[in-house]
Amino acid sequence: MYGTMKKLAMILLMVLFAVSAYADEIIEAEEPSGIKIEEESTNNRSSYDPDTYDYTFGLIPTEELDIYFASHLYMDTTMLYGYPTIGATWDIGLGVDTVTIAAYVKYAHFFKPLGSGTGNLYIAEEMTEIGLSFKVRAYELGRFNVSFGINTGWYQQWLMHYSSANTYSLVNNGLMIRPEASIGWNWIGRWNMEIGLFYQTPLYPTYEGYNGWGVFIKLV
Amino acid sequence: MLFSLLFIGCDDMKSLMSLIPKFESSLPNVISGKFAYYENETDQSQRIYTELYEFDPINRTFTHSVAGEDEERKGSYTYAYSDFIITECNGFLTLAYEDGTSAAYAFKYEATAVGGPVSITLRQDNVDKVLIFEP
Repeated sequence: MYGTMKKLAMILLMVLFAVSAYADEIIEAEEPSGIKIEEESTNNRSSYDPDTYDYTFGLIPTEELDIYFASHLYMDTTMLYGYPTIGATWDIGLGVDTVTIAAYVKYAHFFKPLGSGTGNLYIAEEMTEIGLSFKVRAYELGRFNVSFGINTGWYQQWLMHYSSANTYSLVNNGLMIRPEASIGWNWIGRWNMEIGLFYQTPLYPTYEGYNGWGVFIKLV
Repeated sequence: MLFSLLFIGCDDMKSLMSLIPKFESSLPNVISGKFAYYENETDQSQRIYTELYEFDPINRTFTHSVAGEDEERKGSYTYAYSDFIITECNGFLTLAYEDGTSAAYAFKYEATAVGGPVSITLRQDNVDKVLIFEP
């Protein structure tokens, strides 16, 4: 127990060092053009715009970050047990320039529970998931763009046994990871039509039934 | 009239509510349906069972009938899984008969997604009794 805590503390320290080093690099790199460091003797703080002035770090951003609220609705289909599912995902979060971080809820319906349409064992199957998504717009050319992202969430497999109609039982659940890539077309304003490809796999505990490729389309 | 409409409305609401599926965090009860024990393969092919168990998963009750005996024994059952992987699971099953006797077994349940339940193997004192699912 103590050993594990020690390892976790070491990992946390390393992450903190890495983050602080990265932050320093960004500040140094962007100093000439994006942000200039306030001189120690500056007394005329009132001459700066208080909305953009960061008193905490003494930095005066000359270019504002593009921070915006983001909420999307996706439809998707995944090949599981050899058959396609139909699903929807709704996310809500923040976009900062080309990066979007959002919380999401996902639902998928299985037309063939466990890959079977007989209903002799399970008559219905649904999957739900809640999690966090992280997405980066990596490339832009005119109105077209390419994004990469990853969803990590807690999924639940709900099965309805033939003997208990109208009652779903929670059978498998765990940590799901879903890397994705998409191409988009920036149509009007921030409305970016997207179509993408993903691969989902339950990371822990492993459940091979939910390993599969899928495609998604962003509706709004 | 309004009063009766209110009651009709309540009944409708109950009917509607019953259509909404329930979600339970517990594993499904797979000890369900009819399972027969055959002495040998010939009996199985001719469907001449030696014992027949019928499990009711809703009330968790069962009936146990033995070929050649008129009396059908009834009782309730409890189960616990030690391992569950959808089409195959292991655990413990206790049959409590109405006459006060009981029987405890280790069980192994096997099924296929397409065909449904296949068998329940009951183990007691290192003796296996394979019960075949009767559709």
